Amino acid sequence: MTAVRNIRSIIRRVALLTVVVLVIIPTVFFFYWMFLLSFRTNVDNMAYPPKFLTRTVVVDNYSIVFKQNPFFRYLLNSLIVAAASTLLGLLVGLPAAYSIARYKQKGVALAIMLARMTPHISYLLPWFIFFRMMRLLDSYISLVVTHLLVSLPIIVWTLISYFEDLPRDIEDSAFIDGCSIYGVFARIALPLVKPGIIVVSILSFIFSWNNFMFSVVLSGPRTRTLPVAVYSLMTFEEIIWGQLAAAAAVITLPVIVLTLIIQKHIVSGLTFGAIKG
Amino acid sequence: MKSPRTVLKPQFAFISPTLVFLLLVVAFPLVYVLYMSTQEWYLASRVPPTFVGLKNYAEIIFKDSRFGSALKNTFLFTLIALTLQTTLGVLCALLFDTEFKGRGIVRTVFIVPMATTPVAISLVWILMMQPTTGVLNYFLSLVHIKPALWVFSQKTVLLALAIVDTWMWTPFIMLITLGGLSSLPTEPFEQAKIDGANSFQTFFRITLPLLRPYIAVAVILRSIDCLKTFDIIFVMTQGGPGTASETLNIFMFLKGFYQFHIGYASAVAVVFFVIILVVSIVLLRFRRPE
Amino acid sequence: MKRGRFALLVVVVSVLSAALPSLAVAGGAQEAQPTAEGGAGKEGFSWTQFQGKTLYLLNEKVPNNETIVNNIGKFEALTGMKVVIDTLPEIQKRQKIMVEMAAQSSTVDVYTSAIHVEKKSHYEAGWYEILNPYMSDSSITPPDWSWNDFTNAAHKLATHPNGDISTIPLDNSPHIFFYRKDVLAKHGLEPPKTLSQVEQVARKIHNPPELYAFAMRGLKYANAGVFPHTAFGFGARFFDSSGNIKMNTPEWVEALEWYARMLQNYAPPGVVGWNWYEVTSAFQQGQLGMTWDGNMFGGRFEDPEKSQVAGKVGYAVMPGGPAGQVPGVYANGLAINPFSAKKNAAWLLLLWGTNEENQYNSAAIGVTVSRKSVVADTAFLMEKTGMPEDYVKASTLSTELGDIGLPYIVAVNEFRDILGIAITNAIEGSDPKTELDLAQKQLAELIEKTEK
Repeated sequence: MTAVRNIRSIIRRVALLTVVVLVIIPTVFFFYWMFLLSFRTNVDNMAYPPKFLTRTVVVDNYSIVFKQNPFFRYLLNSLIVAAASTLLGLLVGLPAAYSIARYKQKGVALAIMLARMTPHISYLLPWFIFFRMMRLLDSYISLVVTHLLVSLPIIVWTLISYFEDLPRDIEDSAFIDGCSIYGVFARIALPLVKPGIIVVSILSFIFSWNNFMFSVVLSGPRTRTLPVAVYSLMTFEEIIWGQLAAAAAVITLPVIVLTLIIQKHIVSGLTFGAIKG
Repeated sequence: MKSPRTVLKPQFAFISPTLVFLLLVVAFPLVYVLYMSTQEWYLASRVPPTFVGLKNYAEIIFKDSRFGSALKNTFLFTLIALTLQTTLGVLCALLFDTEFKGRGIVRTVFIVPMATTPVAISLVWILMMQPTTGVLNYFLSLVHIKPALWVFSQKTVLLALAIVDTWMWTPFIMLITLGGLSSLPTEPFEQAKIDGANSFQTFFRITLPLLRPYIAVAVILRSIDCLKTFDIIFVMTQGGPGTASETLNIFMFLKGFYQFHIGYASAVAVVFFVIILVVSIVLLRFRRPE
Repeated sequence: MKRGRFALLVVVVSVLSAALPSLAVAGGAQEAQPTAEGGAGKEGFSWTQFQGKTLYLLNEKVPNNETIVNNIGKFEALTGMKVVIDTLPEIQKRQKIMVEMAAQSSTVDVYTSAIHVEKKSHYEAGWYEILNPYMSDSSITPPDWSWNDFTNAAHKLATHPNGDISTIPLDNSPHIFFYRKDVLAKHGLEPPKTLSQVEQVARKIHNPPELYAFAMRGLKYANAGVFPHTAFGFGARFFDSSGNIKMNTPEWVEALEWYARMLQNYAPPGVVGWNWYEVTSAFQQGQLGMTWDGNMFGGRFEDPEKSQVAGKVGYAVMPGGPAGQVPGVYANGLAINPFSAKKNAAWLLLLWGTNEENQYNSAAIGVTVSRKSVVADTAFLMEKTGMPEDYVKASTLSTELGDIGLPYIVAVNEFRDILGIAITNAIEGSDPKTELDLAQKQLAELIEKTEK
């Protein structure tokens, strides 16, 4: 009997392992392949049947990508726009989230949700015309303000639940002590939702970093962000696989790292707190 | 009327920056788009915009076959992608609900695609999907399947794009479903065991129905986003081959920012907006009975 | 509060949005007047007459324009001016031009123009400064400069039917025929001269997967840059005798059937996604038997470090048909922004950019340039480019025989888009006649909307 049970459990274990491997292979292989391509020569990359290992590692792809294009400037631009729009998003969104949570302003919450749901391209045309008229194309202002459209809903919605979870009695006792509502917000509520603020900041940063559509239309040579730069790389250029992979790696590595840092919160956030990561 | 000296009510003060933002950056442009959609305006010419009423809309709905094909492609893509993602997402949730060593790490790795830059990963996907030298076709050949054309054929492009979208967003559906699984009550399952139900019966008769609300949330969120998918399509096919993967989004972008037919593109934008709105309302209604 | 104040805001916003378009068009008008510029003095022409000024050059990212970018320091030293160069890929550059021009902005002074696409549209829109007066203005043109130093082909490219000259062409790249002479020799075949011979040869040398006999661009929009001039050989022409666009004549249908058939039978899988890069890459790696595309790719094919077919390539004028050989020609040129405030200074950049030295530099990398002296210098071309004689002969002859492979209309981009889709669909199996009929319908409407 124990023998049968043991065999059963071994079969079960093997089956489980197989499924796990199958599930995780698309992800693992993809990133392995991306980095492999970026660190190999073109000859190795174009070989068929494909070579899955490499004996030599070259960094030429990366150095060419950085040399032929002002990649550092693009990186900096992505950084500036993501950071600025996150900051602005917090400034605008934190009070709003607090207010919606406290005063149950469902209308505002709905408006933000509608803004999030509508296709961004519908905004892009008037924005383009407007910014062109104000000579704000290729400026950080236009990028930061428009990226808010993506960051604000995330910030507000997530923080609404954080604020709603705050115990009212702490606030009430502060009122009794003579604090104004603004004081309560700034000095009591905010510090208590600090973990939430960190999470939404990183999420907002990630989404701004990844943004392509707004940046491709509104940016120019001075403010071009990384995703746009890569797209420019593709058109009308000798598309060397290694360089393309290197560019892709450079763009997506920072957000991967950020994701790993806050993965716990992403997990618990999307599972409604059921999984603690 | 309140006297002008009254202090701004906090409910208003807290949300005023947001309201300003919504007004300037959201409401105003939408009104402007509506207005522009009634103009014939070709940005590249010296001719100023002229009012043409609903002519653009008439052309879109009745004359432009390309709009019709864009509509079809948008919904077809969404359907394929959603089906794939939801099935895989639910199955993976079942997996991650089971205890095994290293589950946390595996789960962490599994969710990374959600946060990657769509533009960047699209580039790598194109390389992998090359018909003659790409690694994906090599894998197919190992299991004796004919090489596929992926995004390089009108017949398979939507499926190929849906696969990329699925790779990115299955973790999203998985996590939401997982949350649902973890919060399910245990009694129905215990009862099922007592009644002698096997795993299949348990899954289909108990688990799935209980999970419905969670899966519904995930599906609603993803379907809106799928309808609006832009980055991966733009980078990988630009709507091609021909117009086989030209969705409403891509079509509008081409008309507005490549050909600068601002008036016509605005009309398409309005129609697209209305479609998404209608779909959102329908889907939200759909979930209410739970 | 909210109801009343909100409603007011909505009204204000609506009024503003109604007013904006008129602002958008009028807003730029003040920029249009160029200010008076530095004179030449009584001595006549001087390169340094505008020293201290800064020019903005909007450059399209193609190898043909590289010499200007690489050597701009010489211009700056010669004139004492500074030049800011913004290099963009094709589509982005086109967008930027549209943005700048529509706003009538003076930011850009000089830009590189893709003549085969922009010639009529920019001319009609008033986005080219007309250069005739500059050529005859001795205060800004050196006495030894002459428009006659440029080839007939260059003249044809730059001049409009009424005599206005809008650009100084930097090059005129013909498409020439590339074929694997080793493969043809192995099968005992002569290089084909007509399109039907191409098909016969293809049938014999087709040997997948080692060698695919023939491939060309299948990607929409890109394919419209090679299909039309291929069709010229069948006698297809863009316009009928009354000057109306007619893209579904029996000649066009026959041409599209040929093109689709060739790509279906003899090209590698996935060719519908191929642009010039994939085609020339495949040829370079030894996978293709025959193709035709821009002649500057010959340089890559002969590079022993990058190419598997160096020394094995034959070059000839593009095969034609019963209606003759009319290779397609594509050209870049330098143009002045009519809204620039420094047009005379910008003219100097045009002169320098097309001077002998720069033309020789471009020729050295395989570009067919526009100055007679350089084009005629066969010995230099062969020595500098390392290209065989048949390449040089084919290039020169093609330039003289050839014509722009795109129609002289305003909406060239849309034309390429519509035709490109028809071509791709045909390659994927759709009926060529049906596709061209549909394209013709759309093109006729397009022409009606955009041509006056």
